Amino acid sequence: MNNLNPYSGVSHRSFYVFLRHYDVFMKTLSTSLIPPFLDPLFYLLGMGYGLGSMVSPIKGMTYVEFIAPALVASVIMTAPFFECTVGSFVRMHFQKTFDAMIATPVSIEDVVTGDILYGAGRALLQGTAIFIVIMFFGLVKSPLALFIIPLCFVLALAYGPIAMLYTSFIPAINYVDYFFTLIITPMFLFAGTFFPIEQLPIWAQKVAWFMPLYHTVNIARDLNVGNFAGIWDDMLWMVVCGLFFYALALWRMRKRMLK
Amino acid sequence: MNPIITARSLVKKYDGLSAVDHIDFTIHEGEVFGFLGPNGAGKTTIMKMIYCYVPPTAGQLLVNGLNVVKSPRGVKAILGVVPQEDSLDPDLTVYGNLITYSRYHEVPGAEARERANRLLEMMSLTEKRNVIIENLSGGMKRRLLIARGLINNPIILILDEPTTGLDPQARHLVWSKLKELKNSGITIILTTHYMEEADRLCDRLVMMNNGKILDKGSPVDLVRRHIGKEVLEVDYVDDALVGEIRTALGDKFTIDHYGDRVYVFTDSAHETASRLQHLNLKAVSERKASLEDVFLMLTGRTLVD
Repeated sequence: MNNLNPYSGVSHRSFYVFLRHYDVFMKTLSTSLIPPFLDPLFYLLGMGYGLGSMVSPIKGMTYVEFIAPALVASVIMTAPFFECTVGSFVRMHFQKTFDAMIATPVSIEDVVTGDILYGAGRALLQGTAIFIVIMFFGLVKSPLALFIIPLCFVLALAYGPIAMLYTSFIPAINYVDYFFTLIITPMFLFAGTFFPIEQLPIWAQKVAWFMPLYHTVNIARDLNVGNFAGIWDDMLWMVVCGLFFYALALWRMRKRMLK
Repeated sequence: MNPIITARSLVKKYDGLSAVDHIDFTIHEGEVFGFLGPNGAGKTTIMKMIYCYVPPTAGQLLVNGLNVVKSPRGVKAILGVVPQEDSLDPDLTVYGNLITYSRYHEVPGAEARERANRLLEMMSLTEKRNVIIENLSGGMKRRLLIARGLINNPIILILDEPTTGLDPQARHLVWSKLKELKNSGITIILTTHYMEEADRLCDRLVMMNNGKILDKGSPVDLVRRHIGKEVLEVDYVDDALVGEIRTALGDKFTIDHYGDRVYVFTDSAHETASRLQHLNLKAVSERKASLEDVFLMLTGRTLVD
């Protein structure tokens, strides 16, 4: 195994790790399937129609039209973030599932990748649920918006590694709280989800630009109105961000587990 | 006898401290090989180096001709690993654990189902097939860990303290399963700090302390070389008593004292006892020499935490 190339430990066996998570998910299907539909519904009603009735149109969109695609974008972030912090840490630390897996031809890089794939799978499920809800409310403006669904999976692949990198550092589960408070909440509120980043002071706009969620929201909003051409610079940023954190997460997890 | 695992000058250091300190050993195909020693002796570290969980600091470790550093996937493919800690998947059933694990080893589906059923039968777990892990007893978990370790038809089975924490019944059941396995010809490597376990199961073993090998050989050979046939034990009163015993027996005998007992290593405890009758010794017991005597002699009876 080449130590200088962090990707070299990844193989097709990561799919078996994904399958393990999928099996467990299927066992708890009845409880995992309903909340993804209810959460966005409440946001849409409360923020979109409730709060939105007091907000003037943004860039030619009503407020509810403005936040609807951002709600899809936000679960592309939160689903893998949750899975690759709480989910992965519990398996690594408490259940020793990582240990059991890497005593087989599965490598630690395969385990990390399998968890990231599964996080993306959760984003696909939850993103699709929200898409169905906003479609039901007539908030989907173009047939091209359907591309958001596969992109839920693809874009979520960039978020799993960030969470996995954080998980590779923490000694105890309660440290996950910092991740939620310092990473998830600011992104959720300030990355152009509920108001355009132009409302922020210049320095904060610059910070917001570096947030992956800002680009994910842009992509979702562009696709929702059929602006396919507008997504590519944001896509490029997501790819670069994803590959960067993926490499770091692989390297760090190997260091943590095999010592 | 083909060597299947060879370690040459194997070292593992943590923050400058040697957990495993320049160790050499060779394990042959088809034997049961034991690593015996107290907690912290380095046994588990060696196991983890064999199954590529802990990278060696220095030295060479070959498993079936493959270097553990260069070909971890190849090494792990031929191993069955039964770790000390329960690493069963609590989100899955007994059967689900075996099937999921078989996928990591890329055992084809039909073959995996057949093996899972056969292993459950072999480990007396068939009626627990659809039970979740939480509801298994300690002994059942250990048997399932062994079954899981066998799902890929390994050439070598590694057992790290297979009976630690089990009650006597569960321990004897695990021993009888391991005896069956031994007869099937698989190479078994185990660590233990139970001398009785090593005595019952191991063809050959090494005794370890502080990351070093103190001695190696078959259990019988080790006992005969270091202790002799039998041991006479009496209550310790004071050093004067030890001196009196030494005077009565002469230099031929090894006499040792630790804790509240004095030990005389001999070929006939009964005959030796009769020579000490005039001392009016208390709580005299005559017994066969064991690996524990060897172990205590070699480690110098230092207290290990």
